[in-house]
Amino acid sequence: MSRSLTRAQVGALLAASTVLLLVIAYGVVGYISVDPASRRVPLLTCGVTSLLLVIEMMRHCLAGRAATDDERPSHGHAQAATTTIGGEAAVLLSIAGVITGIYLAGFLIAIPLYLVAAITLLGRRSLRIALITAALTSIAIYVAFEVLLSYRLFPGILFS
Amino acid sequence: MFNVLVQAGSDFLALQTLFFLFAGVLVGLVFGVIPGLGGTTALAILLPLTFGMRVIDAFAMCGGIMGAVAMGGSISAILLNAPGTAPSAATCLDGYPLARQGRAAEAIGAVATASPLGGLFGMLTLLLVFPIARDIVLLFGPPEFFLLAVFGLVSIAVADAANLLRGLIVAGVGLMLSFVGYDAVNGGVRFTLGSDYLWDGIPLVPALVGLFGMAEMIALSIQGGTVAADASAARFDGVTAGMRATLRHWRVVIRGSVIGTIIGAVPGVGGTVATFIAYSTTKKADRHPETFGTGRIEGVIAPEAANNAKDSGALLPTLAFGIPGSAEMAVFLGILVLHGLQPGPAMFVDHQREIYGLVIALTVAAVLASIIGLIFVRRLALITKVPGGILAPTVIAISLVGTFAIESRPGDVILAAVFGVLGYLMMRFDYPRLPLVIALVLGETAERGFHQSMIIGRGDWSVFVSSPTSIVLAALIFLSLFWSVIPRLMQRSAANRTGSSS
Repeated sequence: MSRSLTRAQVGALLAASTVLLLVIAYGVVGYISVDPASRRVPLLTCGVTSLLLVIEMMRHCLAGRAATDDERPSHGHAQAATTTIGGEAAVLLSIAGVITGIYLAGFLIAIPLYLVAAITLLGRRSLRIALITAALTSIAIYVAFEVLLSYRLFPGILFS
Repeated sequence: MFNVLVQAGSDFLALQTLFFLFAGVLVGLVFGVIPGLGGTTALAILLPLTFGMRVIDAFAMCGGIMGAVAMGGSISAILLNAPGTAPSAATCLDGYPLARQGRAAEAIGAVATASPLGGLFGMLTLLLVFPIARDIVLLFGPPEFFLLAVFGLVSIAVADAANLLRGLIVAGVGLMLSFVGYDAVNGGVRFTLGSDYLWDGIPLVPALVGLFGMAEMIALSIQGGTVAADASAARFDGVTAGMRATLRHWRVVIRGSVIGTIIGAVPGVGGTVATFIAYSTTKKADRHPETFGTGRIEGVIAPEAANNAKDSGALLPTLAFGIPGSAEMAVFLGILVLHGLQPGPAMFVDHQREIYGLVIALTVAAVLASIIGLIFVRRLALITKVPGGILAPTVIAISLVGTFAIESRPGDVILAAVFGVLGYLMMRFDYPRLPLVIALVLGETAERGFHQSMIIGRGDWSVFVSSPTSIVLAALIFLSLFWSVIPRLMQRSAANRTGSSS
């Protein structure tokens, strides 16, 4: 029965424990800062979810469950096998970068820069393709939203 | 009634009315395709334009938009896993896997057939139900709303029997997120982390765009390749196969249409819940529920039938009581008032012709949108052959702009990105995303229903089984839970017996 945990199970256990910590933090914040009438249903939900998370963690810790979990086809695990931490970090950083760029310089500057960077660095395409895609997308966004729909796209805090 | 229906139909033969209907269909398709926009935005933008129109022309244009948005939303849901509209999110679940198998055209063919069939079913039901509309809507009070919300949540959370525990955990986390913001019953502000942006709670559309569209594009960026896993094998000749499949699965169409019409008619619950419940009910009723999510055509047909049928259902409370059944209907209510039409029971007597005209517009629009969608399906399906390294950043960029355009709040963009990363991590660690969406939609309804019921029942829990409707709903909740749990327990005990005997 005393089988060591697989890499996938350690990942699942870490994910469940992180969620549990956040759920507990939610409960503590609710208990401290929300008035009793408004916190009743949220705290009840929080308690039930914590209990379910503990069961989930125990399920992974029990070595007898390991084989079942490993055999079950799982999108997440399958995907994990084909991805690298570095690749994931790069894509997630690019998302953080474009959001920061939009906040600072607005859509019409951040979007083309993001597209060029993402297509060349992450997508490994030529600079020419990246520039064409960035230009076409930015023009389409400008025409559709600013010209046709009369939306004023966010100019960023630097230009507003 | 038949005479009025014929008169309303003849109104639509006017060239001017047909023009506005066609214009509405085109606008609806475009707004449906762009993730983050949708029918509510389209109606809101065009609301002032309808002021100078005849009532029948305004209804034709609005009906055109509402009938076509579903088709547009489903096209981007299938091709990009980015639902153009919130109710189309359920179509992603099997539509996108079909696109990845190179069967995007087949999925779109199924949508193009199931949508008008659902719309037609909704229209016929509505015509039959109009005389008793008031009695039906009055069956739902706070306890029934609470139980309906719980039923919606439970049926989605337990839909994946192999992932039952995680489904319930995600539903719990989703409910907790839905409690963020202003508490409408007790007046408190909760879990906003000091941010004014979160006072109104977590907005649904940015969360949906993030969880489905952005998460999938993040995954595509990381993995590389194309949407159609083998782009060279992508087939664009499957439209007729999709249409035939829809007609073959007529029971799925009827089930989805019934669910869409009924849930669409319940104010505050909305089309997103209708399409997800139609999906999960079809999955549960199938002999191989475990294959749903891998590219089952029934998983596209059911939510699409519900998606169009719900519009007719949502018209009921909007016209009978002035209570909008959805956000789209709330804007439509504004258009009614703008034209001097006062919603209420009298409307069914005084403005029958206009109402029937609107219902006809919704149905004709669904058919028109399907035809236009089919004309462009080959070109649209080419998107699945675009390399992920180019497609993913482009879709992410357009999704972010579309998300911002809804209410012009930079916070929505950040929220969409946060939910995008969350959605990716959920995919990565095999947590289902559906229960989170449904919990976000239903959390407020459930909590409000719970508090109001407890006030009505003066703290007595029997208020939740005090009417035939609530008893039926409570029974459905227990049946959903046991239907999922008991077969697993039986399987496990059978496996244990086999293990011990060997």
